[in-house]
Amino acid sequence: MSRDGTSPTTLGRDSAGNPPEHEPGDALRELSSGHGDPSESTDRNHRADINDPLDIAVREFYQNVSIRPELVERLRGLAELPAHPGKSERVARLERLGNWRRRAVVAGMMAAAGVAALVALRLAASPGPITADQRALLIAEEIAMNHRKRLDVEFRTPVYPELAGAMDKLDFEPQPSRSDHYNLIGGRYCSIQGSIAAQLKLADNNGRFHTLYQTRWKPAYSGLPERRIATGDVEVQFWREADILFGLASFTTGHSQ
Amino acid sequence: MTTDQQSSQQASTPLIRDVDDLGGLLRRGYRYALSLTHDEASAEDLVQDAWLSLLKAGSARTPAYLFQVLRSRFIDRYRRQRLVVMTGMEEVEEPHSEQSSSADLVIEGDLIRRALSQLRSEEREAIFLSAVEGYTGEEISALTGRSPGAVRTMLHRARAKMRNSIIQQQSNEVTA
Repeated sequence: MSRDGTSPTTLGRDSAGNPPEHEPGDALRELSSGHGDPSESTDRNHRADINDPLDIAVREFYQNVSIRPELVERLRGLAELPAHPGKSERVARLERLGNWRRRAVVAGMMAAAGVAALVALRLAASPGPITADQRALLIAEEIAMNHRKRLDVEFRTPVYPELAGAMDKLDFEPQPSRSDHYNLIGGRYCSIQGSIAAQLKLADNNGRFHTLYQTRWKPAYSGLPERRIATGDVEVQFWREADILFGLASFTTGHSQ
Repeated sequence: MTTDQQSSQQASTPLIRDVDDLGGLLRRGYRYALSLTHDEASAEDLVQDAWLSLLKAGSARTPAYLFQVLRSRFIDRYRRQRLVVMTGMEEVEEPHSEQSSSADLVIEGDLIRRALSQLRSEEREAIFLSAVEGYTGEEISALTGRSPGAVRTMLHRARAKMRNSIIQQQSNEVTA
């Protein structure tokens, strides 16, 4: 996949050298007609000049980028599921997909993939609804993957009330960790199992960073509190305070901030 | 079909074409997502999100619906994260002069990527829909909910920004 914007000599052809076939604006005509009939009339007199060098370069740029084939296969696999699969299978397939992103820490991802495979195998082997233990593993894996991404905070403040004021989309106020060894760096929104959550970045006294997740408590989390689950190079410690579930993710090896 | 006819057809439709299967649909969706995010990893996340939404809703697996879901998910996600500043395009003045020509522009190397990065997401989206998907201003208007005038203004401004960025980059290269 070339993204270096080299000279646009392949204009109008796909990566295999085939000429383009689709009609301009056909996606929109499908939407407006509901049938995707490309013969429906549209005003073509106002289209961009296809020979404009700028537009040619833009086309060339987007022509040379492509989604990774393995992700296409995974998404295609989801589309091939039956319309109403059993709940456990559907949950497992969707949750296995997670928020996977390319170029995360390679070693961590490989470890996570191993754990995910184990989780998936266990889920696939169980005929009934997802158990509390299985859900705990899935949530721990989801949290560990988010922790490995080391995303920047959106709201940078060392003061919890200020953070609570800034993160006004939450239906709860972010709380300090029950341990006082951590200093708040800031927070961002995220989600756990589809529910909105706070992702707080913390630093300990040794300069190591940790991520504290908080989300509104649900009965589905009953298997989580007071558990410590290791997944790859990340350990996640869960606990509950009032109606908030906490999940503190830390690297088991020496990652610094 | 004669060679001339083939050449004529190719010249009149120089747009990206993927095969009409799910892979092609996803690749096309990814390019649109990339135009919104201008970040490859975020674009893949967005495609995943949108694909799951589309499947859960049982919507048609067509570019039209995929684009619509991608756009909606993008706005939900980045508005929530306060990363996207959506300006009222209706308040932007229509340019007085006609769009200046890019005919003399020589675009090579990584210039286009950097020029695209100078645009706001909605400007990049409009440029993508126009130049890559071949949408008219009216069609972009229908997808994005902006007035045709606002779309024309946005396209004009986006192209001007890109031209300036490219000229500036080329000037810097010569100076260096």
